[in-house]
Amino acid sequence: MRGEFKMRDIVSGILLTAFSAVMYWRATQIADPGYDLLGPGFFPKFAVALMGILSATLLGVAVLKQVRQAASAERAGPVNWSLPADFIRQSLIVLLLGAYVSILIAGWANFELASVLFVLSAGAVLAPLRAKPLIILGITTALAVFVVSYTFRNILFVNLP
Amino acid sequence: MNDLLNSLAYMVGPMPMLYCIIGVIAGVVVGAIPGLGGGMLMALVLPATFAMDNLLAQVLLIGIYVGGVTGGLSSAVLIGVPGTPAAVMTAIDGHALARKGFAARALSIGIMASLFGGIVSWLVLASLSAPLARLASQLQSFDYFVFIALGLILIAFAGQGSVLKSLISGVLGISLALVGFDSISATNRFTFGVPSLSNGFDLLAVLIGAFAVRQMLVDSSEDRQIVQQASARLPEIVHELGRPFRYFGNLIRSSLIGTIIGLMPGIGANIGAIVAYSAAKGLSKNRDEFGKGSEEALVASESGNNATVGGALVPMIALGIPGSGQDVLLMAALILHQIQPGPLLVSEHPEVFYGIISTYLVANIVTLFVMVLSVRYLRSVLSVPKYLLVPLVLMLCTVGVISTNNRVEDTAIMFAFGVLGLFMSWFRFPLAPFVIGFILAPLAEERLRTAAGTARGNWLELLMTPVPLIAIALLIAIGLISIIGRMHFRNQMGTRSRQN
Repeated sequence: MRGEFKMRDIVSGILLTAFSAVMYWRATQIADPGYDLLGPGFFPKFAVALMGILSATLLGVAVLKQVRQAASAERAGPVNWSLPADFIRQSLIVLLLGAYVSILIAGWANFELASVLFVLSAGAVLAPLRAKPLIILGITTALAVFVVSYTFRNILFVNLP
Repeated sequence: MNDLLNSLAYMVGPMPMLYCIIGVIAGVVVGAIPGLGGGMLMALVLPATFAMDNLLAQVLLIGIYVGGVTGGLSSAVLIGVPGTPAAVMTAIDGHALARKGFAARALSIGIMASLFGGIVSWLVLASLSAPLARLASQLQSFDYFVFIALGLILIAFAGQGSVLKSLISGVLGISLALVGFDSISATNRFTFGVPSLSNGFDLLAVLIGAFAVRQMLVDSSEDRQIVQQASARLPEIVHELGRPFRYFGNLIRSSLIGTIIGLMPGIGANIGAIVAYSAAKGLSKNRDEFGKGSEEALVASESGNNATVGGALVPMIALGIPGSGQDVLLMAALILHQIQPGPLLVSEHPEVFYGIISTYLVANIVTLFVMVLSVRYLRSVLSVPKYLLVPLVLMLCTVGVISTNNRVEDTAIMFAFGVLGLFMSWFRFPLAPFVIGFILAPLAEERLRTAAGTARGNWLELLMTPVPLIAIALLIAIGLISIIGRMHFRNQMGTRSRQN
């Protein structure tokens, strides 16, 4: 467990340090027309430099702890790289939400159709594979999408796609 | 005093009371829906207030405002998703308490603490509004910057887990808030040549993504039910209403903190809740319980966030400076009726000035009854299975984001920040500092640039003023207390493990 936490810190440390480096490079390219003393680049540079220092510290501390742990043979065991069912389910929901948002933005379907498809498919991923929950899911989806659509379109005058 | 009493007498009349009840009910319901919040409803109702009596319009809007802030409590406790950013800290301990089977207790504590916070801030609003507003208006730009920096560092020390990760989270929020067009220099920053990034990230889309979407994505991976089945009924909720008074000192302190923070323009209910929470944690004998369903934490968070509403009204009615986003909408409703909020409001329109003050008190009391009576219905959310709740909440988040600006593209921001929140959850980075950093970054930068311009780059001159000096002393004290506290905790844990 401890090893897993350090591995997370190492991975996040690397990602954030790299992100800070890219952002700092971009911050140095912000043009300064000289309208104010500090200019538009000062605060971004300060923020991303601070993030870089903190991320590098996180990475350094995690690596140091990992090395110490390895040296004292206190390994918590190999990191489990297998994909549990929960993780797969979570990833599927992320993908479905991404697809839902993309369909709405691209205008490939209207709000009602996209929402019915999204709620049904995401619900099916999470629902137990039995007839009753699936029937409840179907009915609730139709009702909920109708109520939301009617309320936002006709009462709140929201311009839904 | 007479004006205030007359105004209170007017408020208990049938029409103002009806408007107040409608506003509070609407605010509570919308505030409970993650991502929607009272602010959105106020904005939607604003055009309709044009046809209303100016005071009744204020009554309706303040009802929504107060109901919306307290309404966030229900979803925070019941499903662990703060209905509004103000309920961030409530979601942590309130939901943990609900998971332990004490949903009714958590709700009762939140409801009563909210009322108490509201009443304390009303007392300040009614009796000390003018002098306190004068004090707040005397702060310089650099003082504001120091306050913001102090708030961010406080949350890093007060948060769960690693201080380093909290600080990184806060700075990441600041960095992402800087994406877009800089209005002072007319320059694009961090847009990577993408034109749509010039607008930056819409705040509501970011908040809905980071809180609601992230929470639903996290919960979708878990086998357990998102919420605990509630066994409490109305009598149980009523019975528990006296519980917050066991923490009377905490109630008073958190309410005062919330009120004072509310007075600072731009620093809203979420910061009030966080600072009250941090102070309660720092002074509590049971600080280990914080984050795991602590009643003290819930008392601090709810009294702190609700008290900011009263505090934020002070500069709005006395100086014409909005203390929060919702105050801007209240001001807009006044301007629609040709009334200019500011120092002359009390002399030119005393009925409006005192009407706002009285409404705030009455709305808080009405909220208590509405919350107690509606919670049993809002509790039905508890029995909704995960396969319905997760997709439906995600759909509501999407429609909520679209409705804010009538812009479907904002859903991409919501999605991106939801996934970012999920990554942060995987890598154990706290969310609160990130969101606080994101909210406060533009204000912090603006204040810093103004201050640097005023002092012509003489930083020593800026630092050698009372507010920064006090803040630095406070930071050193907090840092030392935190380090000593953590060392003490580690020693205790070490002693316990040796004993076992």
